[in-house]
Amino acid sequence: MAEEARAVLEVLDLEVRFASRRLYGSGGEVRAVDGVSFHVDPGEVFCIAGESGCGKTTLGRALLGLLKPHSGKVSISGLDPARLRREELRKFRRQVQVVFQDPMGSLNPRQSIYEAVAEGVRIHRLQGDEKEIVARALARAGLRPPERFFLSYPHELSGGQRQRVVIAAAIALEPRVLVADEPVSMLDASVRGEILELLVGLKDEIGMTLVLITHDLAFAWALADRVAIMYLGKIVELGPAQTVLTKPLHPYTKSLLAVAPEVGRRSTHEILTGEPPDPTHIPPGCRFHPRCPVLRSGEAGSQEPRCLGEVPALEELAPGHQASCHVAAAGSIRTRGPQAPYIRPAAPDDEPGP
Amino acid sequence: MSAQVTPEATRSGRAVRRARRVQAFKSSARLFAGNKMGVAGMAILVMFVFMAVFADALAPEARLSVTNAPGSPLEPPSAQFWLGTDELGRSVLDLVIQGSQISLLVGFLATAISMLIGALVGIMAGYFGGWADVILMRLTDWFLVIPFLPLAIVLAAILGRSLFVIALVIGLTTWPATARVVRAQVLTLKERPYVERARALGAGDRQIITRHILPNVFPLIFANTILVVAIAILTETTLSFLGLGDPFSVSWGSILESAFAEGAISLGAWWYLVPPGLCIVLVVLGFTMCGYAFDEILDPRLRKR
Repeated sequence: MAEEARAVLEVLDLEVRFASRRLYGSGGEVRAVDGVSFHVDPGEVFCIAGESGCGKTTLGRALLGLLKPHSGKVSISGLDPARLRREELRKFRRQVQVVFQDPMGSLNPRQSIYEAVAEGVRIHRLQGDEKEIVARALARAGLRPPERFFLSYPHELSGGQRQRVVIAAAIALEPRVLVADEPVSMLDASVRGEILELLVGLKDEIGMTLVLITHDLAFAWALADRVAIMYLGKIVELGPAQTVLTKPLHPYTKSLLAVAPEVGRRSTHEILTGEPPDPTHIPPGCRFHPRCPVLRSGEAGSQEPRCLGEVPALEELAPGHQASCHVAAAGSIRTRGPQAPYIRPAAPDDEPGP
Repeated sequence: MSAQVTPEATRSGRAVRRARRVQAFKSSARLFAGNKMGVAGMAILVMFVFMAVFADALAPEARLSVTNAPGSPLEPPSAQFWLGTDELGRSVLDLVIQGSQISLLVGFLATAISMLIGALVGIMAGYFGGWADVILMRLTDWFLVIPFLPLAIVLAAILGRSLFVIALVIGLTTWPATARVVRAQVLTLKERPYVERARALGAGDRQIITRHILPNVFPLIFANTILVVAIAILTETTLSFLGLGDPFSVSWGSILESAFAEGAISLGAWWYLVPPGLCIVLVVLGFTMCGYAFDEILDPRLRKR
């Protein structure tokens, strides 16, 4: 309880659904985020990782109050964006800022850099001289001398510079939480490190909390204090970055690590094959079971029926380290062992529930 | 364009904004000056606007008096009457100069009405979507299918034949096209990441519409405006020709109407028909040329390199 009171960001059983339309007839519903709970402590770098389509971006947008959750609760400094009225929502927005993936699209092509950064300052009627605030934010974001950029337009800047402008606009408001949704995935490899370093440096300078959404576990390894691994709208593993990435408990995390060569030691985990299943037809039982290498190799043993029929809970299996896997929970998972030859089960995604 | 800026241009937030606008205007003006079609169109328009503004000095209204006409009926062009006279003995040149005032005025007024309604409906329907979109677009469809001439005749009959009614009728029948184009653009604009980022910054709907949507649909509205002016002037001519115009003022359309009514064609009085017709063609051409030039300037993708 003491921990929860401390948390700057708390998510409780959050669910976000989208109606999926089909060409013929009515489609089902997509549960993009399906019962997610976690908390983030002040000053932390919290990383949400997963494949594309796992719901990590949707989760990020729900944190920002940009879309309305179906159920559950988001709370940032005790405020839930879905339950706020206009004026309160404006105040909330000052505390939570965002950096999106696409630095070109994130800037209005008809707005000068000065206007782009000053916009938030004006909306929130910040104290002090507007020009000074803008200049300081740009300088902090590494655009020096800031005056040189005032009259520039986004198309005159490089991708890295544009992302710095977006960051400057966000930090001009001195938010408590900065949500960075794949902030470097559209940038050249040469500037990725700089931008990430900048974000972490600013976090300490301003005393923000950083929520980093990424598909790249290498960034999680380099920057994150804690990592949440998402699969099909659910968190499957959550814990300190060090432990999750070196001693993963969930087979999905292990598979992800197998394709990230720099992280951890030399991997013996099986490379994950197949595509994430259709989120309109979530498999029964453990939602990872159609692709689970542990299950396929027969290592699951007596847990197998549970994997197929019972939804695993996110349980604390080691101090501060949670995972939702029946096999890991039963302690029967083997980290090393003979690998079974890969045989794809016949049409696993369409298997009806028992 | 480089990011180099003199230090004095950056004194305060307001100065920064002003400097930015001046810079943007200058670069647009440079581009326009480099566009031959645009310059030619603009020259034509400047000439006609000049003619309309100084119409009373160039062709005093006293000379248009029906009872005290300076010449005899249907005189061919001469040193005294450069473009001949009408059936009442008035100078056709004077009529054309006076007519430019009404024709341009109705054109601009109608365009203003059309653009205002079209842009407003298009932005509201596109931005808010849902029910607002359904209702506004059905309304647009309804106006789109109203037969124009019967509506004009009915409105002129009910509201009386005046300049303003003509402008209103033209405005009311041309806005749906603008609304549709604007709505389509707004639909793509509102999904841009910068709109979402503005929302995350704390911007409300009004802020997003005025700061992010409007500036980005403005080029479209502007280019449309110029083309609608041409249509409006042409429409005014049609209505006046049909006798639906303001009976107390001379416009190019009403000159054509009286020429037709007096049988100028069968009498071979070409000087009565050609000048107003040529003026209409030139003005419409001027607006169209300017419209295309602005289209090119405001949409960087159309610029020739």
